[in-house]
Amino acid sequence: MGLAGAATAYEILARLFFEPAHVPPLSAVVPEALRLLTGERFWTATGRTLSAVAVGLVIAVVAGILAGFALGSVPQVRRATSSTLDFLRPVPSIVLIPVLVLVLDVRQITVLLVAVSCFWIVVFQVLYGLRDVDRVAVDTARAFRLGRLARTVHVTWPTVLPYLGTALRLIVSVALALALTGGLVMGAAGLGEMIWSSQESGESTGMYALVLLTGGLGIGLDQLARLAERRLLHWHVATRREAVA
Amino acid sequence: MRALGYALGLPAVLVAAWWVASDGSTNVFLPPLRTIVEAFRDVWFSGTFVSDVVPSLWRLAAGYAVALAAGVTLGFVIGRWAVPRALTGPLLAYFRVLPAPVLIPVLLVAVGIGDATKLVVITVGAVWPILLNTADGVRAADEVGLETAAAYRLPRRTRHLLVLRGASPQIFAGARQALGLSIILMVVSEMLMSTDGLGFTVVQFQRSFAIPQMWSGVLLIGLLGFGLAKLFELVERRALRWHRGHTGQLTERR
Amino acid sequence: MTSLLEIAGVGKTYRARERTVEVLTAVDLSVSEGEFVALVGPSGCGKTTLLKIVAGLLPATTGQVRFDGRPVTEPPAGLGVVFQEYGRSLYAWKTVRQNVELPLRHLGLSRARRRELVADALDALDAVGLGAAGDAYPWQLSGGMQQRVAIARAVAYRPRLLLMDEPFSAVDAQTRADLEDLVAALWKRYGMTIVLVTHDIDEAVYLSQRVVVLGTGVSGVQADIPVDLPADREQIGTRSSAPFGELRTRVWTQVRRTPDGEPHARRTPESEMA
Repeated sequence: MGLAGAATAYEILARLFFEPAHVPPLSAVVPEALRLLTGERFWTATGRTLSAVAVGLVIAVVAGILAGFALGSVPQVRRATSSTLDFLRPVPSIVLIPVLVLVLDVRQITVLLVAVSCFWIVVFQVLYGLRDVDRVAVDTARAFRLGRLARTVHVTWPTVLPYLGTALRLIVSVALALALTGGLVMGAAGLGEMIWSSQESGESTGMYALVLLTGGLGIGLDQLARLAERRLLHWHVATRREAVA
Repeated sequence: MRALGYALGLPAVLVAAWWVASDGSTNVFLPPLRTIVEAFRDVWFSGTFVSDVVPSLWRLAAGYAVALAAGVTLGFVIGRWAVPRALTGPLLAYFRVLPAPVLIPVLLVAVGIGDATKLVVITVGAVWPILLNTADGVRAADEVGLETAAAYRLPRRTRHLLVLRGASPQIFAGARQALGLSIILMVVSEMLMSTDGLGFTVVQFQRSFAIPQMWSGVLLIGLLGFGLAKLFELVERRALRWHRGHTGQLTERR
Repeated sequence: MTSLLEIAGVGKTYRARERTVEVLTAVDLSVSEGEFVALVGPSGCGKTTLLKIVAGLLPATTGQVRFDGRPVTEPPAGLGVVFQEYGRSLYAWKTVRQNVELPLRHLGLSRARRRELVADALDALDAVGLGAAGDAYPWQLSGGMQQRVAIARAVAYRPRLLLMDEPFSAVDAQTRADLEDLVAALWKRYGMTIVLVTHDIDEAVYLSQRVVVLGTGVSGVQADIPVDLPADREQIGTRSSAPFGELRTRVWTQVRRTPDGEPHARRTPESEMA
């Protein structure tokens, strides 16, 4: 109902106040989107964007978990690095674009942008998780003479896991945004580049259709991340509660 | 004193290492830090500050302010009443996942190139985290607190303010997210469609192979991001002291 | 004495999906000006629901509540409330003083009168050693102290009717006794009407002039037992006296006698959805 209302409102606004070249009506955008869906070009571009997302994510998750545990497990290391991490985190990763353009090709840069931005999110979630490890649980494990490895497997890791689930949900959308930015700013092949070139060549209907489909892609990735999070955390209290409700 | 040592130790070591390692570097792309610092002084403590940094900051401040006002207002309306919530539900779900940078070409087509476009890009991109978080926070307003307010016949306006204040932790969370996003959108939109501003200048330096100057610009954007994040944190800590106390994150008790 | 509160045939039915849940049926009750009435009953009998209907926070499905002769459709003027969840009822971002002052700000009182009322209410707290807590935030205080602040807020408002919903359930036994005596003293001092909802039968007998037992299901008011104990009561002496024991047994028997275990009446809408 709300969806129909929003579509109608858009249609009316677009037709009343804008030129079709600036804001094309939905009745033109939707057929164009369907046409794109049946063509090869859209799927090639989507595949490229998704592969940049996937490679960047894998790098970020692996490196982020390793770095997070390395930094968070030793209190001295953690204290010594916290100010530096605090400084580096808010630095927008896109400032690297001009620097990286000089040494890498645009596809590598796109992957790197995705990896760097998501890396920070993973590192900080791991650090939050490690801070949250229950003192009592650790002491109990020590009382039962569990070794460091066993403690990590049975106590620390399960505590950090929910935080990684949250990280996963966050990084998927960040990764998509940066993969698209790579295409928009540097022309890295993929959806971002396709959107930008249709904008430049004045095919506004095509561009709106692409943006519409990009949103759909966002929804799909988001659902996938949520599914993965639920799988990962099926034993967790919050998940169980959600399942009951 | 120890805390200060911990806070400044590693950054000092890293900067020193960069300085030493890059000193005498002949690689064009990795100029000595000394040269970058000199370029920083020459570029940014001059007319460029007025012609490029000021417009950037102005766009950022205006775009972010509008996003804040619109996000809190709309989020409040959507969170408080069921009808607007039901009407906007699918739309919000869509904009929650739509990556903000793709709004740039859309707005470019819809609004055209101009100062206003960059401002609109920042606003339209940054408004969503604020709006969605405000709506969540307002919707989760404590029932007992609301009933208390109703029983004491507090006027409508006061009750709305109580709800908003109760939602302020979520509003701040959204605003923090939006701030980072605003900086990114500012830089990207300037890289793509500008004749002045930080993003534009850095790209210009890169295209004309003025590498130390470009590095100094990268450094400035980094510092800007860091500085604004710290400033925000300061405001948030003050405004949400009660929340940390209430949820037991503040150990001070009487 | 005239009747301040008139509850006539009040019932409440929730509609959850296809099922309807009757939580309250045909309650008739009248409370006089200045009276202290305790409302008890087994869990699920709708005590809290009734209190919220009286406060004008919930509409009744059947029947009517009249406060001072006028039908209640929204919270009436001159009503104070104290809820069990003090941590949620007090506003965490306001100091103790601001919390107490908030309801007074919209009564059109002079600034001086407002100050006087707040100071007076905080004095009542001071008597039990709250000291200079006026500028503290609720979360800096213990649970018992927070509930005291909620009571002070109600008292400063000078309500004609004070509704209390399980006010002492979330504090420890010692604090509970202190708070009971505080409420008893405030009642005598300000002569307001109090309706107290509690699941603690001893507390109901100790504090009130009349214990009303609410039954589950279709029974409405199960019993209305006057408490003919002396006006001056104290924790140890009163509770160990023979008349107290008899009254407690009478109330107990009534509460146990209510048709317990009727599933349709014991289910609240929350448990229905979970």
